[in-house]
This record gives sequence, C-alpha cells and structure tokens, in this order.
Amino acid sequence: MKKISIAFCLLAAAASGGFAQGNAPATPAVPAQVSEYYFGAPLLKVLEDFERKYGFALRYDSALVAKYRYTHDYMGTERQLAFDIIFRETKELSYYVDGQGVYCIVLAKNLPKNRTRVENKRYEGAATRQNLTVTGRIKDRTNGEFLPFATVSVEGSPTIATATNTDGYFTLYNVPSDRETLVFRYLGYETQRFYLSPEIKVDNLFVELDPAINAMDEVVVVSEREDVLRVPEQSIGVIQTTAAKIADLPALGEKDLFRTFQLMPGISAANESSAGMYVRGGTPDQNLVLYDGFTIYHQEHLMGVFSAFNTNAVKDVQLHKGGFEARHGGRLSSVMEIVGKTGNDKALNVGGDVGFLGFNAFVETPFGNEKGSLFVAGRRSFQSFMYDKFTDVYTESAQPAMGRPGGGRFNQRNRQKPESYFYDLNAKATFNPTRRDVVALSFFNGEDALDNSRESFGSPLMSGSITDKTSWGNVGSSLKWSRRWSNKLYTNLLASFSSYYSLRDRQNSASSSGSSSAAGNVAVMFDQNTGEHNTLRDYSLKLDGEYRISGRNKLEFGLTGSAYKIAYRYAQNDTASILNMQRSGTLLGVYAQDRWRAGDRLTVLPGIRLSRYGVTSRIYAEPRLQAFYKISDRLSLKASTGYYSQFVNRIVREDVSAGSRDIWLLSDDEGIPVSRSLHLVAGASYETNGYLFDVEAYAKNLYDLSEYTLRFAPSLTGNSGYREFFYSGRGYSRGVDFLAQKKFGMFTGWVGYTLSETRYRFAAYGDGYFPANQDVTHELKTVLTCKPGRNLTLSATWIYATGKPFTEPAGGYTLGVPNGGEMSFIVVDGKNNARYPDYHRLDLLAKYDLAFIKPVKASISVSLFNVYDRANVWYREYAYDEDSGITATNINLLGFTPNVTLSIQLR
Amino acid sequence: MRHAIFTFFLPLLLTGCGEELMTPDAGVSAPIVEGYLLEGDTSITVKVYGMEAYRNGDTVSMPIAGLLLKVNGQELAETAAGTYSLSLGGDTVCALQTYALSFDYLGKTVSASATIPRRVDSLQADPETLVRSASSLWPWGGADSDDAQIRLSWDDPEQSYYQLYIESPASQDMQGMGGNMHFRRQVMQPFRGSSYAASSRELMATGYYRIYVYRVEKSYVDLYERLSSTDLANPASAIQNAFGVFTGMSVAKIRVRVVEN
Repeated sequence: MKKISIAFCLLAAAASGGFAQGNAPATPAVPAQVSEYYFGAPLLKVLEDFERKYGFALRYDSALVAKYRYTHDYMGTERQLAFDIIFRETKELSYYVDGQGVYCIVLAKNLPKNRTRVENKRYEGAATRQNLTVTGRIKDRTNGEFLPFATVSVEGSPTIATATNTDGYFTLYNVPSDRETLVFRYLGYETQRFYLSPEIKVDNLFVELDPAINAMDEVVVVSEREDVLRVPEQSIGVIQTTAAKIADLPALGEKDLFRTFQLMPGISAANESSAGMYVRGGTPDQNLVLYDGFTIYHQEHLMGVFSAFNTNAVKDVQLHKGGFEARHGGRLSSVMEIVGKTGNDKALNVGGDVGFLGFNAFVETPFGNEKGSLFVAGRRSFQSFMYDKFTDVYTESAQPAMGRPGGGRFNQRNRQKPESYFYDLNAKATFNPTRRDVVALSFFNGEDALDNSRESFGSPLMSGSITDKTSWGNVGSSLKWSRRWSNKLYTNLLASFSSYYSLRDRQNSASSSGSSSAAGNVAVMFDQNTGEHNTLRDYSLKLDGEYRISGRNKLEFGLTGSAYKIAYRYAQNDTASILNMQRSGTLLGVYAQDRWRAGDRLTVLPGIRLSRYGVTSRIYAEPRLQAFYKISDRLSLKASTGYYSQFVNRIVREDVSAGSRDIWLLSDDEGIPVSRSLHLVAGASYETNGYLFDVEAYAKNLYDLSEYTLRFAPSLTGNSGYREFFYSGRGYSRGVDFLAQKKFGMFTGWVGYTLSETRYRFAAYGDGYFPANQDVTHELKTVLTCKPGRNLTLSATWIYATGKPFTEPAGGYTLGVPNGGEMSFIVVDGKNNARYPDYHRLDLLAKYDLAFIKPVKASISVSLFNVYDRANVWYREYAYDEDSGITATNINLLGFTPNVTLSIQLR
Repeated sequence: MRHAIFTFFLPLLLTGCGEELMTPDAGVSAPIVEGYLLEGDTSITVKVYGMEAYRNGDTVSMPIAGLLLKVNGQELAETAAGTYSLSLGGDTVCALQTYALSFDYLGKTVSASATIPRRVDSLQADPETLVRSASSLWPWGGADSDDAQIRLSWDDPEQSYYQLYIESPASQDMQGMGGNMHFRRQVMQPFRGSSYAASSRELMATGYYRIYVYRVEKSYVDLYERLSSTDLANPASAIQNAFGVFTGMSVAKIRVRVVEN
C-alpha cells in the first residue's frame, strides 16, 4: 500500500511573505497579514484572535491549551506564517487540517500520521502556469536537519529531476505545469509526493520528510522501506547512504561507514584489517575523503579495523567510484563526500551507543529560535575482551622484524599486551542568519595511540626490551558560508584546515643466538633506536558555485587554493636522520563544468579542471566528460572519462606490526612524481519501481605511481639521498561491476559482483607487470535485510573474493658470518607470484527497537561476524634456517566474533 | 538495441585485455657464494653452494663442486666439496687491494670484487677493566642498567663501516648468570662511527673478553638490511648472477676485563 499522506510544511517565499498555500480556507474579507503584539498572553486569547480577526476555523480542547502563554510581535506577518509561528514556539502543540478545512490543534505527539498541517490533495483543475521552476529546501521533519543529495522529480517524467545540494537546496526546472506531482526521495526516509496547484507558490518550498523508521511507529504500513545503499539516478559510479541505514547491517564491533560501502561492487571488502577504501583497484590514498569540505588524512582507527568516522555524526555520504566530475580533484581513483550532521534545530536531543569496544555519545540542540543548531559527538574505545581480540590479531601475531636478515621474524609470543585506544570528536555549529544563508563551523579530531612496549622479554633464542610508542591522528576544521543568491546562483565559500600526524618512537635492544652455528653459541646483537615522525598541514580555501543558465544548463564552477606543509623524519639513534624531508607546496585550482540536458534523452557534463602545483611550477589540465542517455524510462546508458592528478601521496610501509605506517608526502620532481590517471567508464542501468540492475565497465590507467621502501637504502648506514627510498612505476585497473538490487519492501538487498584486474609495473621489481597487492579477480557480495515486524530488523551479508596476491619465496640459504654465527635469507623469483586462499565470510545482524522504553528511542543489536569462523589469511610469514628449511606461518584474520550494541537517544 | 549496447561497451572490452605478467627470473638456480677476505690472511677461501628450493621441498642446499674459480686470474683449488682455496704463497691479503672473483655456472658468468679496507688503527678501551657490583646482575640474566660501560674507540678517517665481535671469557662459556642468555660470542650489527660503548648487557660474565673490531665493506653491511616478511624481496647481493657475499675486511682486537667488587 502506498503511503499517500504528505507531511509537508510549506513555508513559501520569505521575501514576499508568501507562505505555502494549500487548500486551507482563506476568507477574502479577513486581513492577509497579522499585526499583533503578544507578551505572555494566554494562548487561548491568541487563538481566539486568529479565529475572530483572521478567519481561521479552529478546533481545540480548551483544557489542553489553557496552560500555555505566548509572546510574539507580529508586524504584518502573513497570516498562515503567523499561525505556524505559534506552533514553532509552542513545540508541544501542533495542528492538522481536516477535510473541511478546520485547523485541529492537538499535542504534537498525537498528530495523526496520515494528517498534515496542510492537507495536500491532487489538483484536478486546469493548469494555470506552464514550464515552472520549482525551488526549495528539504529537511528532516523530526530534527530539522537539511537533507543533502535528496532527489526531486516530476512523477511520470523521470527525466525532469534534480538533487539537493549539500545544504538541502534544490531547483527543479521544466516542470510542465502547476498540476504536476512532485516526488521527493531520500535514503532512509519515506518517499513523499506533493501535488502542485495554482495556489501554491513554487519559488521557495520547504519540504519536510519523515524518517522511515518513525513511520513504523504508526499504524500506517509503509511499503517503501528503502535499502541501505542507493545508486542515484543520472549518476555514474556513485553510491549513496545515510547514517540511519548503516545500523541495519552487521557490524564488526562498531557501525562503520567504510565497511558499509565495501559491500558494494567495485570496492574491495576482503580484508577486515583495513577499513581503507580500495576502489576499483585504487589504493586508500587514491580516495579523497572530504568531511564537511575538508580533507581527512587519518581515515582509520585501531590499525585499520574501523574507519575514523563516527556514524552518529554523519548525515550523508556519497562515494564516487571513478570517472568523477571536474569539481573534485587531487586524487587518482575516487572521492568520498561526507556531510556531517547539523544537529536538531527543533529540540534538545542526546543519545549514545555502547558496545564491547567503546562508547559513543552525542548531543544536539537548537539555538537562535530555530535559526541554528549545535551538534557534538564523541567516541572512545575501552579495553575489553573484544578489544583485546582485535589487538591480539593485529599486533601480537605480527611481531616486528628485529633485524634478522632475510625477512624472518622471531616467533616471540610471550609478551605483554599492547596498550592502545582511539577516540574521535565531531562538532558542528550551523546557523541560518537568513533563509538564503547558511554558515557552518565543523570540527573533527580523531586519534589513535599505541604503546607496544615490552620489557625484558626472553626466550632460549632471544632476549631484550622494546619501547615502542605511536600516536597518529587528524585534526580538521572548516568554516563554510553558503548563500543562495537567487534561483539561478548558489555559492559556497569554505575555509578549512586539516592536520595529520603520525609519531612513532621505538627503542629496541635485543640479542639472538644462531641455532646451528658450527662455531658454538653465538649471539647476534641488535640495538636500534628509531623515530619516525610525519606531519602534514593543509590550509585550503574553496569557492564553489552553481549558476543555472537555463532549464537545460547548469554551470558549476569553482576556485581552490591549498597550502601544504609536510615533514617526515626517520631517525636512527636520535642523531642520524636516515630520511629527513621538509616540503611545502601550494596547489591552485580552477574548474568549470556544464550540466547540459541536450534533449529529452541525453545529458552531458563536460568539464575541465586546471591545477597549478607550486612544487613543480606546472599546470595540470584534467578534462572530464560524463554522458547519460535514456533509452527508455527504465533503461539508460552512461559513460564518463577524464584525467586525474594526485599531488599528495600516502606512502604505505608494509610493516604491519604496529598499525599505521602511513606517510603522507608531497609529490615533486625528484623522487615522487605527480601521479596521473585516465579513467574510462561505461555502463547501463535498468531500473523498475522495485529493482535496479546496473553494470559498469571501467578501465583506469595509472602513471607515475610511487612506492616506498627502506629495502634499497639500508636503515643502518644512513647516507642515502631520499630518492633512493622511492621508486616509480605505472599500472592499470580494469573490470566490470554488476549490481542487482531490490530497493523497497520488507526484504531488500543486493547482489554485487566484480570481475577485475589490477597490475603494476615497476622497474625495481623487474620487467613486466605483476598483480598489485589489492588485485582481486572475483568478488561477490550478497546483502539481505528483512524487517519482519515493526521493531525487528534482520540482515545478513556474505562475501566471497579471490585471494589477494603475495610474494612467495622461491628458496632460501644461509651464510656463515666471520667468527661464527650465520644469517638466513629468503629468495623470491617474482613479485606477487602467488595468491592467498579465497576469502569468504558470513555476517549476521538482529536489531530490535525497544519501543516499550518510553519516552526514549532505544535499540539493541546483536551482530555476529564471520559466523562460520572461516580462517581467512591476512598474510603469511616465512622464516628459513638450515635445519627446518623455509617455514610458512599463516596469520589469519578475525574468526567468529559476536558483539552487542545498545543505542539510546531521546528523540 | 542490442547492437547499440554492444557498440557502447566494445571500446572497454578491447582495452580490457590484460598485460603480460613478468616472467620469474629463476633466481632459485643462482649459486650462493660465501667469501670473506681478511686483511693479513695468507689464503683466500670461497664456498659455493646451491639454494634450498621452497616449492620443490626435496631440494636441499648442497655444495657445488667442480667449478673453476679464479681470483685475479689465479685458479682456486677445490679443497672440499664446494670449498675453493687459493694459497697466496707467503704473501697476504693486502689492504686497499682489489680482488676479483669469477667463475661460470649454468652458462652464466658469476663475478664479484672485494676491496680490502685499511687496518683498524688506534683501537683503545676505556677503562680496560670494568669493575661492577655483583648485585647489578639479576638472577634471571639481565643487568639493572647500562651505566657500567667500556668505551672502545679507534681511528676512523674514512668514515667506514664497522662490526664488533665480543668473545666472552672461555671459563664462563654457557655458565654464569642466566644460562641461555649468556653467549660466548656476540656479533653486533654493522654501524658507522669511531667508538662503541660495550654495556653491562654485553659483558655479563666476569673475566677477560676479546673484542674484535672489523672494518667492513658496504656490500657486507647490506646483508643486514631488514626486510618485511609480508613484502618479500631478494636480499642484497653485489655479486653478478649469484647471491651471497664476496667482501673484504680488516680486523683489530683488544682485551678487556670485567671484575666484581
């Protein structure tokens, strides 16, 4: 059954004072504007005035409203708006309009779900206006959050559609007449329909959508429960989700943004040790992550188990998998845009979650008479059996190599547990000084700390002590001013700052014995003190604009300027710097793109981005093109291509012993060239009311990639120029993503499959290509969610993937050392010449909304990770000695892991 | 319609053909060479043996006999299977002289060269006798601090690489505090510098120690470079068509004493 009730509050055209006009009765004889001054006046008196002087037909319980007093100064306020202001300030009350046009005042919580403030009915008369332009803004009815990337379309004419921008504004052109029906959609919300009529002003609609979860509290059955992830119309390689939907999927301890996206085709999921986004063969650093407009460089917690984004602080996320528009730049592969919550602008709300890994709390409150809101969320881990389980897998199993040549590791296990924690903090203040302006100040801080020290550990073969402390994180902030200058022009000015840091100090004293020395008992001593410090500062100023040239053309343009300052020092024994880099650079960019509807079927989006990179003093041109062709209402083709450049690179050290080994460095002309890529994407979508079938083929050529190693510049000798640590190569990634999705109903979900190939060629490894570390040939994902009752959600995910490539030894040998002792070495004959066993995993979730706990909203989730305890291999360690030869040890990813999360919030 | 869709995807299908993967370099067949040329020695000895293959588990490391090895054009005699020696006949391995090794194996010429470093001069120990309290040693084999040290120093005009060997008192071999924690010889990692502080941890037993200071070549130091076990790459080798080491060294030694009060 389609829910046809509409929950719109139409607040039209502030400047003109025109409030949205529904079918409410309006007597021509009564004044159109209200001029009254109330100061502590009984509400009964106020309502009496509105009935008597301004012609409202009211019905209410006097006993109900008698206790309220009211203060407001109306100075020629339009009568409908004046009436609404009463209920904006007396929040416990609300009203609806019955079939006879009578305004029925009730407690807000008792407002019938199928009634609206303005009864909106299909207009059956003749149209009076043609070819309209409808503008407005969409927000969450429960908390006032503006909804970004929501879609607006004309029912029956799917080509006439648009999406809201990050501030919730939309402009819909070419609406045929004022008797059309508008459809508003947003993931996790009820789809709403609104019927235009000659009486309705269309130049500043305020549309309020209901979260789908709330609808379940009502008697009305909602048939259009939407799936967790969504592929927006007229997009290529784009996936969208909202934080509200993420809780419907199984979680590894914490609801996680990145892991939700990893369930879609094209994004590798076969590695729970990395929440990083491997998008279509790209590496995590090739994925630009923007949080409220500023770049987040520290994207993972707990050595990669979780992403650094608190889902309680996130409103909306869009991932562009490739072939993205000219308005984004600076990365080779993909872009993730995260919009933080603005906070409840209607009432104070607090909430939080607690699970086995940590706790998570938020508070949101309005200020300035619904003109602004403040949102603060924090999350911190605590030690628990589950936390220890993670750290056991990700640190204890991966002992650092302590100097033994040949890549062998000491299998030292009798050690103290590492101490670690992570936290993050999100805060956002949003202020709407006028109906055209939004000012938002956003802040993010996330940090991980790890103390992996051990004292006086000993074994028959080794003794020593290690002090090893690491902290790494990101602090960022942005101040954004958005203004809708007119129906044609919208701008967004953003100043931001982002700072990444990774600080590691390690002192390692150890001795080990040669086990088979002919010369007797010989110890090889190691004594190393190393410090590895990396900082990045990013100061940016951006101006983005949209100008509607016509109903068919929207020009999008922007200017960006960034100043980077990066430092990296790898020091030995406090004095000798093996690598000491200080780099600063500027990046100036300009882009323009035209979203041009060339006909009823064809839409093209040509664009170009020009970047001037100060370090190389060169200009990088990046032409882009997207095209969409609608063969029928259900079937459409899409394609995109473009050049992409990357100037800031995250170099990953393969040392998995202590988590983050990320080093952010600037490109230059010396050791790290500016990387480039060429994307070519083409696909087709077949979409029905309930299903989506989508296929996209992609080819991505990568040029001037950089890798980093200490392998060729010994850390102990310390006289190398920094170029020796980097080597360059090229590569490509090609594949096809298939998606079949059931979008609505009690059962939703999808099957995603990716066939892909990612290969690199680096001269340092020899001639020819080799499979990149992230190369996965087949990846199949199935996601099923079910809501069998009003309070119960069940979901299951199953992932299968080809094993990832790794370098398998070809042989080994032992060298004698003068005066006794020996050293063992492992030899390889090809980079990534073998593959781990295939990866597969089943996760389950049961979530129950504790509706009986009033008045708060509460739920409890039981999540089962890796249900059948599959031993998926994370990596394989090799050791060699003469006695036992080469031995391999599998280090496995997490086995069966249950988790329980309790979530509570006021509203 | 079908034709249109096929045409649309065709360019991608054409570009979707993968590139050829690199061919393995068959490094497993390369011989292992082990040759340390010590300044002052009267002979040169080089061992040659095979690698233990991983994928064919039945292949073990075996000496490679019957090769014709030459150092500076002089043939080496095979004194044992895979062990080749050249007697210098009253002469010695000389500092600053370069020795070139070559031989053929499986159709490839294996070649390497080593230049003998200068002798280590002016090796001193301060103090030459270390006095420490018995209580500074823990019964389980550790020492409570590194405050007690013997500082070794030498001339280092060329900023060379060095490696130290500490030989414990023979009478304390495998005895004393901590049993297994106590080694007869300790081999330090190569380093640069003109001094080294031998700490209590390295001088745990009482008695006389012999400390050898080797001046070594960079090619030897590279052997100690660490590798990640998750991102394997071949070990450093300055030898063409072979793994292992062929390098020159010089050495000086000094005797120090540790006593308890």
